[in-house]
Amino acid sequence: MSSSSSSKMIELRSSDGETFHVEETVVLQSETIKQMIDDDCANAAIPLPNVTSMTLAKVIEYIKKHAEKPKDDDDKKVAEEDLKKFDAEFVKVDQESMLFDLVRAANYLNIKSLLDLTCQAVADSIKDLSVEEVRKKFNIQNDFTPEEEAKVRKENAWAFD
Amino acid sequence: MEKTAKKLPSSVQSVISNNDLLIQILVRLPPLSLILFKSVSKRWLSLIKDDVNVTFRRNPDPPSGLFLERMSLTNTSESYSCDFVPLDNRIPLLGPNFTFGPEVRHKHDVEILHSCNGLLLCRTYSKLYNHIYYEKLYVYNPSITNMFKVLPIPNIETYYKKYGCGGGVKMAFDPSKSPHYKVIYAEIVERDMDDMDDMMVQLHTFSSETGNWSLCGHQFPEHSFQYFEGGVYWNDAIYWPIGEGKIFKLEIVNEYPVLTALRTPLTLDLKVHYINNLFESRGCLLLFCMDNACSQHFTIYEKRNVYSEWSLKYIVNLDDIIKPFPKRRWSECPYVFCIVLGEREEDSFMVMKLDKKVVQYKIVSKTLCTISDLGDGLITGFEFIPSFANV
Repeated sequence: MSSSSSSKMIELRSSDGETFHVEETVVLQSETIKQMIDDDCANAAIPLPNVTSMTLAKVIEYIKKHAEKPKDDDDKKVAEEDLKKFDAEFVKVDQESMLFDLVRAANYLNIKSLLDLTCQAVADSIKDLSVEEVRKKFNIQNDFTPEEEAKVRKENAWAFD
Repeated sequence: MEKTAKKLPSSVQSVISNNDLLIQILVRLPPLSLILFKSVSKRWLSLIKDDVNVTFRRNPDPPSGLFLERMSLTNTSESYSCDFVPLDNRIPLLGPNFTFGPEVRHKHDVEILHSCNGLLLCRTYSKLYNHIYYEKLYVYNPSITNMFKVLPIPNIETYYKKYGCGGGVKMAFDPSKSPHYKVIYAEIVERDMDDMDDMMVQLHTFSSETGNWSLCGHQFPEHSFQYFEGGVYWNDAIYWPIGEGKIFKLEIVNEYPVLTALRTPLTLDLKVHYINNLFESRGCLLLFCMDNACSQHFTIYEKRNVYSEWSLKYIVNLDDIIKPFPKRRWSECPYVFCIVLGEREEDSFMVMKLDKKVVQYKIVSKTLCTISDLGDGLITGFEFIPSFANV
């Protein structure tokens, strides 16, 4: 990791005005920021108007961890296991809204692995719910008439009535 | 106050109302949840129905239910009936109303032959003077109403006749490898009408890609296919136990099927297990062993890939839960319908017949719960695996 100390630092500014200094090699995991750097728009602090400081701090924690390079093949296996554990812990957030903030940030910053991870976590959190529970959770109005809903359910071979 | 909708955090709202992001979440749901969530709202319905990528899944789900097919013998003929048992509490116990295929007059006219990663291989039959005549062979996706395909009738002399043993039809479908499936028909051919020992099996395979049957040149001794009907599809091959500590493996990936014999693990005192049954779950081949027909002790081995050896997975001892019952009639003995490995070890379970009931047994926590009652009879279980696969 000492080798990366010489890496160029990039300054990111969150929507609430906080600045973060991150190594360029780390921040390149974001396709969006990579594009900005390639386009030479990164001389000053990069403004990220869609990402709050709290979310950005989490995102940086994630990309820093994922930028660690294993030294050799033995180390690689350990690192892979370690990364799996880190990912599993990473999506265990106190506030559920943080998970959705991370989905949005991963989408905006275009970090594919983080988008995969967070969307999978959301999917896992709803996969065992009933239709009613999904509606309640996401505050979705049932806009079917009873007849329409019955028809949709009938398309499932195992209709409910 | 309670009438006003609860306030949803803006981040949740903005993700769920964004079609691209909602699709990112939907594609990661198991098929059963997707099938159910079609009725959340009109928007969810259209996202799930209109984008084939949303419903495409490489890895099949674990089963959400079981079709329990009961064979009844009356006089000289047999008939089948089928019950459904849900393994997910979102599927109602009495609700399901599977259409079961083409022109099925009543469900007694259908025999399920194989359940393979979401698709069922079935056939209809009729009876005339106590003889069974097979009619249509078809592939059916029970998750989707009327999703079935009647296969052309293979060019098989014996197609309309039923032999007491041997032969059989199996299917091979692995969506992680191909959207197409194969059906393998083991036909018994008599080289010499008077000599039972001289019966052979020849294989006809149907490919959904070409829509045709083809005959494989090589013939196999009939006795090797005696228990082919009880086979399991796993990793490009059909596996079936043949007794005496042996399993046959029929590789069907190439034009010329290859039949090889594998050995099963032995008991601690180096004997052959009395019963060996095969199951498939979560990409592993599972071998279920019992040391006598009514034992309450099971040994389960697993094979993680074709190159690996059998390794001991679970030892199950039901004595802790139910008293050993020395004088069970044969029909009351434990009979396992499926073994399902969980994503987490503690979620693994098996479903079995035990004392005229269908019970689910959680292997790690050693808890037993009754799913439904079951009468007597010879019952075979076929997994219901929700899937959007076309046939």
